Amino acid sequence: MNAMKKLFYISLASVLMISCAKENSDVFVPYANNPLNDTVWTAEPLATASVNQLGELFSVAPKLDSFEVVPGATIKSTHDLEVTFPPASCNAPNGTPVTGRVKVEIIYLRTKGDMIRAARPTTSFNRLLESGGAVYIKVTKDGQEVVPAPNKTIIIKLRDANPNSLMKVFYGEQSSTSTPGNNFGFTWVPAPDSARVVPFQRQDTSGSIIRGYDLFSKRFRWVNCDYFIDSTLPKTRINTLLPVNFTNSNSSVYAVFKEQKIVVRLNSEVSSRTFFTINMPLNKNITLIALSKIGDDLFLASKDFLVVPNLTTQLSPERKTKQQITQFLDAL
Amino acid sequence: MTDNAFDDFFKNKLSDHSSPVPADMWDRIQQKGGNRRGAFWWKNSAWLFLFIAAFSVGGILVLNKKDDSTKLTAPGIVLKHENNAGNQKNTGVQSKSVIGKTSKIELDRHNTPVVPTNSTDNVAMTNRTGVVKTDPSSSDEGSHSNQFRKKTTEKLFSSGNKTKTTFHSNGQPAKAGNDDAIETAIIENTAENDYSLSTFNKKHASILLAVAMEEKPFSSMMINHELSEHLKSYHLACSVDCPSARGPQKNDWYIEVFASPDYARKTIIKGSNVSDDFLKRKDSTETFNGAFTAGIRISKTLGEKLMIKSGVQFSQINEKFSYKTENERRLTTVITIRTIIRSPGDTVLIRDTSTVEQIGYRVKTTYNRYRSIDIPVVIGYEWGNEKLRASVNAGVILNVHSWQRGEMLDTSLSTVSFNKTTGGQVFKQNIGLGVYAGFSVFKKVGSNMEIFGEPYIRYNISNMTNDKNPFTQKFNVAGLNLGIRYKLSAMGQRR
Repeated sequence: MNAMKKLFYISLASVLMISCAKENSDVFVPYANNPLNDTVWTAEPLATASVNQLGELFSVAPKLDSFEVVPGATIKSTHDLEVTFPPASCNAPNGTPVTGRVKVEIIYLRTKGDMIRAARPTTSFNRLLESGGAVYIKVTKDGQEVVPAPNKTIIIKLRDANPNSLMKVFYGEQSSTSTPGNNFGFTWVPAPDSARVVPFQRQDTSGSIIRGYDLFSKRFRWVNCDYFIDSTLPKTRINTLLPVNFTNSNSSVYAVFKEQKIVVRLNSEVSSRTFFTINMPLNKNITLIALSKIGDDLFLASKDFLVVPNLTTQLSPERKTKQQITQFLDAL
Repeated sequence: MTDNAFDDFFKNKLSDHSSPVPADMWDRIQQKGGNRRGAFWWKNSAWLFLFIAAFSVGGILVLNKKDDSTKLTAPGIVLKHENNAGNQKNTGVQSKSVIGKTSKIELDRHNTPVVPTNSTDNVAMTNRTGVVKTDPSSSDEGSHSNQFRKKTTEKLFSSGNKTKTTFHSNGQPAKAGNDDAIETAIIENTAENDYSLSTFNKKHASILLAVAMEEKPFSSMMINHELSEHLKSYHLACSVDCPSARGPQKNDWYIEVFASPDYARKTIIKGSNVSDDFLKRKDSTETFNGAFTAGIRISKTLGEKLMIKSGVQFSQINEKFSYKTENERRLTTVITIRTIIRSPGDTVLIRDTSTVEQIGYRVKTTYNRYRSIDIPVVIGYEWGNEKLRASVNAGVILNVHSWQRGEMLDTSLSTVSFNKTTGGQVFKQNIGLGVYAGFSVFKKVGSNMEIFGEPYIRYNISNMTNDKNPFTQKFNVAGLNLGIRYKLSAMGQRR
C-alpha cells in the first residue's frame, strides 16, 4: 500500500516536471582564439599583431637592382627617382670597403597613400612634417647589409612640381624601446650630418622643365625630404573612436591633410581606447582614415573633417578587399 | 369507423396520388445545407462534451442490450409444483427476467407427471414488480410442492424482498382470497443477499414456484394454451421474471482520473527526395525529453467482468531540438563610455554607441512539443477480489485535435520553426486513430475509491506529417497510467 502511494506521488511529480514549460535557449559561444573576438587594447602591440602586418600587406613594391661598388652607378627607379652611388661608396658594417657587385633595393614613397601603405607618417616626435618624398635604400653584399663609406654622399634625385626650399633631410629612426618590427616606434629625425636638400629645376633631354630635389644623404635606409610645418599655428588634439572590435592591435588611424603632403598617424591611448594626436593645426581639412586587419578580413574607414578644437570623431570601418583599399590609397 | 378503417380509407384513396415538387424546394435545401457546421465543430467544448457523453452512453446502451439478449438464451427451467414444499417456503419473490422461447417451466400439481412445455409457447409476461403468490388454502392442490428439477443450483438468484401480487385469470390483479386468482408462489431465497452459487447450495436455498391457475386462459395476450382445471399439468411458456442466467448483473459506474509519464519512440521514414545525411542530421538534433498523458475516463461494467471505458485525455510529447552551427557571427550593440583626458583638468566622458561583432558557434535549443487531445474507447476484462483487482484493456484512441510547436531542420539543414499556426504545413492537426492496450491493477483505498496503475502502449496507425513533407514521422507511446478510480454509488445499482 505504501509502495503504491509512493509510486503514485513519484509519478505525479514526474508528470508535473515533464509538463513544466522549459525555456528555449540560443547560446552563442565565441571562439577563444579568433582575432575578431579579441577586443583587448595593449600598451604596445606585438610585432605579430595584425596592425603590423598592414605595412607588409600594402607595401610599395621595391625596385631591385645591382651595381659595381668600385665604379659606382646611378639606379633609376619608378617615377623618375634616381639614386646615384659614387665610386667605392659602400663599406661593410665593420668599416671594410666593399668591392664587387652589390644588390640594391629601393622604395620610393611619393604620395600620401604610399606613406600610409608603408606606415611611414610624416611626423617627427609628434611634430608635423610636410614631405617632398621619402626613399628607402638597402644595399647588400652576399646577403649582408652594407653602409655608406665615410665621406661618401648618396645623391637622391626626386621629382616635385613645386619644390620647397625649406626641405631638409630626415632619417628614419626606430625607437630603441619599441619592439622590432613595430611601426609605432618609427619616427623621422633631422639629419645631424651635412646631409642637405637642394631643389632643382632643369631641362630634360626633350626640353621639358623638370623640378625636384637633390638629396645628399650620408645614410642608407629611410631618407626623407621634409620640413616642419609652421609651429606658430594654433593646435589642438583630436580623438577618434572606433567600434569595439577595432583595437590598437588590429587598426591604425591616419590623418591626411588635403592640401599638404602631411600624413599623421594617430597614437593609441589604452585608457580611453581611442586614437589621438596632438599638434593638429586648426582649420585644416583632413581625412581620417582607419585601416584594420582582423583575421583575414580587411577594413577601411575614411571621413573628412575640419580640424576644430578638441575634435572627437567616430569612424566605422567596413570590410573591403585589398584591391579596393589599394585603389583608395593611391588616390590620396 | 374505427381508426384503422379511417386510415385505410385515406390510404386507399391517396396511395397513388403524386404531388408536384415546389419550384423553390432545391433552394430551400441548399439554404439549409449552407448552415452546415465546419469540420471542427466539435472544437466547441460543449459539443465535445455532448459528443463524448452521447458516445459513451450510446455504447453502453448498445452493449447492455446485447447482454439482455444473453439472458434470453438462458437454459430452460423446469419446475415441479408440489404442495408439500418440504424445506421450501411459499413466498413471494421479485423477479425481473423474462424467459423466452427456449425456457421451460413444468408444473406438476397433484403429483401428476410433468408435461413438457410446447416449444412454440411464447410468453412475454413482464412481471417486474409483481410477485406471484401461492395460496394453498384457496386450492386443493395446495399440498403440491414446487421444486426446481433442473440445474436450479446453477442459477444465481436474488430475493430479499417478499412482495405479493395476485392475478385474476384475465391477467388483472386480484384481491387476496379470490377464487379466480392465479396463485403463484415463487421462490424465497433463504440466503438473503447472498448471490454466490456455493453459498446458495450450502444453505440449501431453494426456489419454489407454485402456480395456481383456472382452466380458462390466463390471458390471451400472455399465454396461449389452456391449463387443466385441476392443475394436473401446466404448460407454461414462462412469463415469470427469472433471474439472469449469470445471476445479478453489476451495473457499476466509475470515474477514473489518471496521469501517466510516457516514453515516446519516434519513427521517421524518408521520402524519395531526402538524403540519408539529412535524416541523420535531423535525428542527431532531436532527442526525446519526456512525455505525459492525463485524462479522465468514465467506465461502466458490462456484466460481471467486462468494462467499457471512455473519456478524454491530453497528451504531450516533449522533444529537445539542439542544433550547433559553426562560424556564426553575432552583432551586439554596446554603449561604451570613454574618459578622455585632453589636458590636465580637461577630462571628458564620451558615450559611444557601436556594435560588436563576434564569431563563434551557436547552439540553439528548442523544446518541441507535440500535443493532442484524444478520446479513448477501451474495453477491459477485470477480475480479482475486493482488495485487489486487475484487468486487461484494449481499444482505440481517437484523436480529436493535435497541435505542435517547436523547431526542426529542413532539407537545407536550416532551422525552421513550426507552431500552432504554421504547424499545419508540416504536421497534421488530426493524427487519426491509435490502438491501445494496457494492463491495470486496482487497489482499494476506500469504500468507493481505488488507486490504480496501468502500463500501456499506444500505437498510432497513421503518420503525423502531411503528405507534402519529404519524410513521414509518427510517435508510438508507452506509459504508466496512475490514477484514482471512484465508484459512483448513486449510479451503481445491481439490476
